[in-house]
Amino acid sequence: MITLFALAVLLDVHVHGVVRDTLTREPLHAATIRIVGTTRGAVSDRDGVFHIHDVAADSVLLQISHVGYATKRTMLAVRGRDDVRIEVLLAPSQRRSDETVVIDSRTSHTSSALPTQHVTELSAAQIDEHRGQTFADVLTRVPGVTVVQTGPSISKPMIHGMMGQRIILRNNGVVQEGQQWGAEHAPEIDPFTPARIAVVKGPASVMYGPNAMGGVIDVLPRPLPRDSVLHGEASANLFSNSGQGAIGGFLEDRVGGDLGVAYRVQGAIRRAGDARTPTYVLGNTGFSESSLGSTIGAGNDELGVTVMGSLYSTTLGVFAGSHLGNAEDLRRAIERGRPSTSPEFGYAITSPRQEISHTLLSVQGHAQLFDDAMLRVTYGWQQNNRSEFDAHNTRIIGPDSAARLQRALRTPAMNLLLTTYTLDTKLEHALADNVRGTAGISAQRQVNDRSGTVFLVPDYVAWGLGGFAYESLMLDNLTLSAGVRYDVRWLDVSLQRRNTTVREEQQRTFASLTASAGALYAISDEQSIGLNIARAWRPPQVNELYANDVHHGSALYEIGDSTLHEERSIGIDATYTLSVRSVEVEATVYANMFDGYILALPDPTRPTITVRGTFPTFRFTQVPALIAGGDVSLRVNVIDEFQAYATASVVRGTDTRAQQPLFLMPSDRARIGMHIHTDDVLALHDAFVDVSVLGVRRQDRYVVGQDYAPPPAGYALLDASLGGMIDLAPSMQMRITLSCNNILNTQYRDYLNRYRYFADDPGRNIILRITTMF
Amino acid sequence: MNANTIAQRFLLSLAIAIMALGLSACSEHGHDHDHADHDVVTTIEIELTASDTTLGKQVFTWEDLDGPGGANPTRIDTLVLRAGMTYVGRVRIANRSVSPSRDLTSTIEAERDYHQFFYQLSDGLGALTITDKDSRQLPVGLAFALNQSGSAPAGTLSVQLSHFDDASTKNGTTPSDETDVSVVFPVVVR
Repeated sequence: MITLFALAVLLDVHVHGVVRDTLTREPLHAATIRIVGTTRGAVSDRDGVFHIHDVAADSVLLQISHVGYATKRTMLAVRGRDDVRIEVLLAPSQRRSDETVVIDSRTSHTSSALPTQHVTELSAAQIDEHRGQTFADVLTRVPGVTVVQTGPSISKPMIHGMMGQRIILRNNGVVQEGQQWGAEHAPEIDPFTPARIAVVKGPASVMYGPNAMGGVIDVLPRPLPRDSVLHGEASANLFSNSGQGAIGGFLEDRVGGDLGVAYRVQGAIRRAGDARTPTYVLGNTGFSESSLGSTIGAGNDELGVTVMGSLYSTTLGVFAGSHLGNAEDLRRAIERGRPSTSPEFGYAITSPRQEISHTLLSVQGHAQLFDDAMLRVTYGWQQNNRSEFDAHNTRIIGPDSAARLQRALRTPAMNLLLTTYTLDTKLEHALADNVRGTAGISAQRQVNDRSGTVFLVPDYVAWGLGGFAYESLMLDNLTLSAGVRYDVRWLDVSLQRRNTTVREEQQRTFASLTASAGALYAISDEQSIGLNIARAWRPPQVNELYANDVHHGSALYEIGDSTLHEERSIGIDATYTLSVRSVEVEATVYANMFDGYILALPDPTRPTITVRGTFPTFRFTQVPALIAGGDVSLRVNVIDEFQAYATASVVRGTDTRAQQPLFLMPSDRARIGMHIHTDDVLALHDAFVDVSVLGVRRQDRYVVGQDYAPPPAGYALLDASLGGMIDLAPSMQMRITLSCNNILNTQYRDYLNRYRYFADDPGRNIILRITTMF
Repeated sequence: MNANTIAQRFLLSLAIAIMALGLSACSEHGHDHDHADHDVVTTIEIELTASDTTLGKQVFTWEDLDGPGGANPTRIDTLVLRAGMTYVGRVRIANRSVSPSRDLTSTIEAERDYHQFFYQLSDGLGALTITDKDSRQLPVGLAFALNQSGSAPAGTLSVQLSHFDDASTKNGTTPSDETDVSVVFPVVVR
């Protein structure tokens, strides 16, 4: 009797479930589900759903595979149950590790760009494989994207030679508003945060307003879970060069069924010591960072609300040798060729240093108004609190007490508190079956509160208002897009000069029209060509208008011009893609013509005389300019397991009035590499080896005498990484990557690193990255 | 109360906590604007006492009252030296942008191991010798002797104050990369 009963149960077990992409949560069609050791299995349908009936065993080992995804094995206990439902999340495979995915934005409302624009997306696997010491590091794998560094701990992304206020960075759907104006002000984003990163290399002002003239870096979170299954990830990164350790992770789940609430909590901490060049230690370049975030979402596709909050804080050491008293000190440091002191490696962070915290709160709601109209409202509140502690100003403190000294050491030389409120309302609609678009209104209020003895940016209140609409027409082989936008910015500045208590008020209003048009033509199934033209603008930023102080480290005296007008540009870009079975080619050419490009030019006739000596004076001014260039990437699958790839990018910036090169443009660079991939090596699934060489030419386009030292020599770096996945337990996998950057410990200096005047770039760096997913 | 309800309540309270955080942190004003704790050098005074006591004391001033930036210095005195005269010199630095003004010389005095003045008389004006020493018998430069000699009718005296973060890097001859004061006085010989 007992036997019969058991038999009946065994015959009845029904294993079913849904297979999804772990990142997008989109159901995966045609995934293969197989019971290991048998010939039984199933294939998922359009909704990712599969069924295996009459499973007869105590437990089964399921293997789930899908083209383009890492194969996953899951052990299921079946005994004593008649219905086993599972959700399988597959992670995109590392097989095509550097592949640039062209999102089919024809069907996606939430794309980062117009449908005719080219979007490069970094997947979770790519981010995992190349995640660096700072957020921006991973972006340098995208051709045309470089970083402007202030030493090893501060990296600011640059797209096609444009950075800061000429590009925007979106985090969780909200434009990140930090102190964009300084080259030593890095984005306040934890490297573990992004699940995917979309990079738009080209003007996107119609969608995002002024400042998106050079492009967009869109940090995309994982969508919240749709099923009540607890998932999580724990990551650890170790970097040998700076002795950096980082751990991070998240947990996510959904409670309460269809009308329930989904949540995710996320956190990370990291600590780094001094960076090491091949021959010496860079003193005081360590940093610490912590972040904590949570997201809660309720509702469904038709109606829902998501609340996201995150706290980020960091303390960054500023290389002691970069803090110079005057131009004479800098000349001495350049002549010496290396720092005057080479301290022992350590983790201590002293002055000069930066302490930054960034708090972000966003509330996003969406409502399906009728069949073809979705209303999305996003409210964002963010506060950026930046304190910069000088080594200088804390020293000479007059004759009084030690208590005053202590207080002075705790007080930053400059503190900036930037608070930004944004409200974006968008109506996504379909005018016809093949005409889709979005119309919306954006409003912004920003308040900056400055204190301290440094006068690079004033107090201000800024208001912004913009209205926009863009539509796309989709024909068989052709997509056409067009958009228009109008923005107004009001700036109300309260200037405080040195040693006066009288404040001077000044109001400026900036307004401009933005427009863009584009076409994407599919020549054949394998080839496409896209062409976009856009008019973009940005208001001058407050430091360009009102700066009046020494920029530390650069030993320059910067003077703003309060009469600067809007900077306008016309950008044209064309992208060609070819994708046949074994060859992929992607090539982009672009040109941005500026009217009133804002830059700081030296004024040798009027040096600034101060008690610390004479400083070269740089004055902000506007010139006509042209930034043009091209990116190309090529990928050849020699055999299935072996792939060769190459990327190259070239940027040329010219002040067309003086016919001279623009300062700080990235030099020509190329990467050549190979990627070997195999499905299984012993217990390692999805194993890969990647070896590449990065070559960077010397920047030979510069104005003699405009800079303290000529651009450094070109260099080549050898990088390699290998890794794979290990099954730890049923539905628990671990991804391990071991990388080595600058394997040959090459001594070099990069033109875009501001420490190049006094010190080399870091040497060899061995990196271990471990991520456990469950 | 089932597990889901508890979880939902927990999440709701978490959401409220986050909102409260956002709202309570809504202050748009940061640190207080009193930055008197940071001193800036506005004034350098060179005091020369001639060995001929009938000449008395002379004080020459370099002053930039609005600190670095803004307007260029408001006062740069010309040192007037008597041909062939020997002087005992002192230097004083102060912040006169605040009221009451602050004498900063005593701070250098107290932190003499971390500071050194470097003087440079242009050619043909004579010799300047630092006469005070720190704990390691290295020159400080708050006190000096100036012997006028040579044939130049005019020139300059440059005064530099170097700060050494690490006292062991001070060697008495090499300036640091952190210059706190670097000014130039015109000099004439009468």
